[in-house]
Amino acid sequence: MMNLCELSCGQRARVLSVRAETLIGRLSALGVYPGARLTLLKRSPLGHTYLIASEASRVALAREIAREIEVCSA
Amino acid sequence: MLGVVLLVGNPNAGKSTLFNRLAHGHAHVGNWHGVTVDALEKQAVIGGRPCTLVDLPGIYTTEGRSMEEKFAARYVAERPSAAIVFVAECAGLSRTVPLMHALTAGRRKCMLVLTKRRRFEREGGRLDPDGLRRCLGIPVLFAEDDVASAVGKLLDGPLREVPLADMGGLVSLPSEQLGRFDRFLLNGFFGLFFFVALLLAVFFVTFFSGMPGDLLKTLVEEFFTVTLAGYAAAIPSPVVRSLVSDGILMSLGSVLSFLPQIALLHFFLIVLEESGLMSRLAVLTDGLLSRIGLSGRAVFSLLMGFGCTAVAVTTTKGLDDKRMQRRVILCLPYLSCSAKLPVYLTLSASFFENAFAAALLLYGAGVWLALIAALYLKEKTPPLVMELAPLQFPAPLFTLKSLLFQIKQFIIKVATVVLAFFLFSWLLSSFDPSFALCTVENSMLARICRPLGCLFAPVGMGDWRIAYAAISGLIAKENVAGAIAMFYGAFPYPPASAFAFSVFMLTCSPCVSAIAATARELGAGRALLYAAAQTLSALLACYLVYFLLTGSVAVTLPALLFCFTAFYGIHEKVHRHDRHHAQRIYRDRLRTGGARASRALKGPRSARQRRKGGRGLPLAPGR
Repeated sequence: MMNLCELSCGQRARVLSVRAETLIGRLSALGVYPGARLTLLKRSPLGHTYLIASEASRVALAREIAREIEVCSA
Repeated sequence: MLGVVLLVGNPNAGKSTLFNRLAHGHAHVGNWHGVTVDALEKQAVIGGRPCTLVDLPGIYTTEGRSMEEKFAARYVAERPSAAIVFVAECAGLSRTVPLMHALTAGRRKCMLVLTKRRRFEREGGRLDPDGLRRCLGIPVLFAEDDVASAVGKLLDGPLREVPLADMGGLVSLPSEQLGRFDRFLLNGFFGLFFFVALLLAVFFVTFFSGMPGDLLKTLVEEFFTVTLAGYAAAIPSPVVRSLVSDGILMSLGSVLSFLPQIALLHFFLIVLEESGLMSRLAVLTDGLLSRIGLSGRAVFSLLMGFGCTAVAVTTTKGLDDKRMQRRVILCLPYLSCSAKLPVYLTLSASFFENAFAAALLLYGAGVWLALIAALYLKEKTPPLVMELAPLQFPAPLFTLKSLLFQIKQFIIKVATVVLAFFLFSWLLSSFDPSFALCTVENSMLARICRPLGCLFAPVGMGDWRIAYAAISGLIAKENVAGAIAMFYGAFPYPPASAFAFSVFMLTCSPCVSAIAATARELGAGRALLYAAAQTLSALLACYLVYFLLTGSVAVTLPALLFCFTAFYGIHEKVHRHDRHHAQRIYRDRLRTGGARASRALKGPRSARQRRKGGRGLPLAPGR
């Protein structure tokens, strides 16, 4: 088990849990919810922002939030 | 009773575009989230049926945490008999289905319009509309279809409930890889280089002399102040001649000369946003700028501040949130606009051998002040969660329409106010108290300035003409240089006074056009407050710099102490205000069940808090 920050670019993963409680609804609307598949597309140059592709959309996430998303490689 | 049709969907799904098409309206449309922040209602005849069409802010889920989402969800819940037209982009359909399910739980008239089909199919996505119709049990159309007549039929249609359907097989999504352009734009080196070059190019084209923006500005000015004023010179009566050429034509010329640059800048802004470039810039710069509480989009407005503060203020509309907009507007005056350059050059001739180096020093000091202001006002911004808007070529018609809308707004809300102020100041500076035409020295404005002369007495310039120059800077900054040249020729005071006055010019309130633009964005009260606070702090800074330069320690030390105390006091006040703000949000969340009450909040509240709390969000009926 690891969090989204630990994925390498281009790696596919499956979401296990989302701990950022206030954002659960918003994230699931963007396609990030337990069970969803996603791909880490890119880390921003400063490593502060993570760009992921979910089934629904492309989403940019701050590191604080990416850290709260548990994934396993798929 | 008139039917009501609500447009509901995720942010940036294309609701406002559809709204404009159905109601022939001019709702502001943008390629980023949260363009619509209020319900936009319009009476329209759609598909032969008169009805009220409502454009709601974007909503992801009914439990959404943002103000807009809460507002939209409540709006829908309060109108059970209204028909809903769900708007979803083809690629985002899977996240709209749960929303449709939640909102139609009590059965209502509804249909689905799918937008952005072309891009979806170009990227390799496929979608089966007939299958969707069967699967969801409601009418499903593409935005290109005849939506109007479908909406007309919907008003007489049956009540339906959308099931939480599994759409596997009906929708296949485009590839997940980043496109070639995106890899380039989001590359730390090339992307940043590209955006810096792009923003500098925008600045160059808009503000540099000889470039389209400046050329058009000069043309407009010359048309009013030379061509038309030439005709006015033939008027026999001196009073009417002065009114027409110095009053009306001069004012019109100065106000309307803003238009070309405003149009150009807003054109670039709309193109950047529509094309999706702005969201790339936001991703690229988020880590860096969030440290000073700003976003990539704010950088656009700040950079344009070097050209013209008033124009830059108008571009802050649509910034991520209102509080950030306020911070940007507060920082803007410190970024010296192009009209301040002649003032710096005039003044610096007396305190620096190389006038250009002195101007550069003042520009640099301004940037530092803006940075300090940004850091000082910084608030904790919520961490970034943003959908990356797709790259696309901006639609020419929409670009044109939003541009015209912006220009119209500027003329109605800003130009009229500024024009009135200009005419008033012409009246004050051309007449003596008995309303007879006179020279500047005897005018009413000069009389008003005489007591104000003492303001600059501490820095060795107790002359009313300096106060007059400073006040004329309120109309336009370049007037300060003009006034000094008119009264003195060359600036007559010693270097320390000149430098102190430069610092005053650098930090004082922006011109009246910028104040009017701020009033349009943040309200007149706040705009005036900012202007007053900036002018006051500029006076203090001016004194401080003078005392530091002349080295009178006995005065400097108490002055520094006073400034520090004032600074600390304001900081405390801002800080306390923020805490109240946070608690208010928390209380609102408590009411909507978003958070559990903690012990700390159950204690007695102060009278001030109670008063504020009492004016919170009204509760929806039935909750």
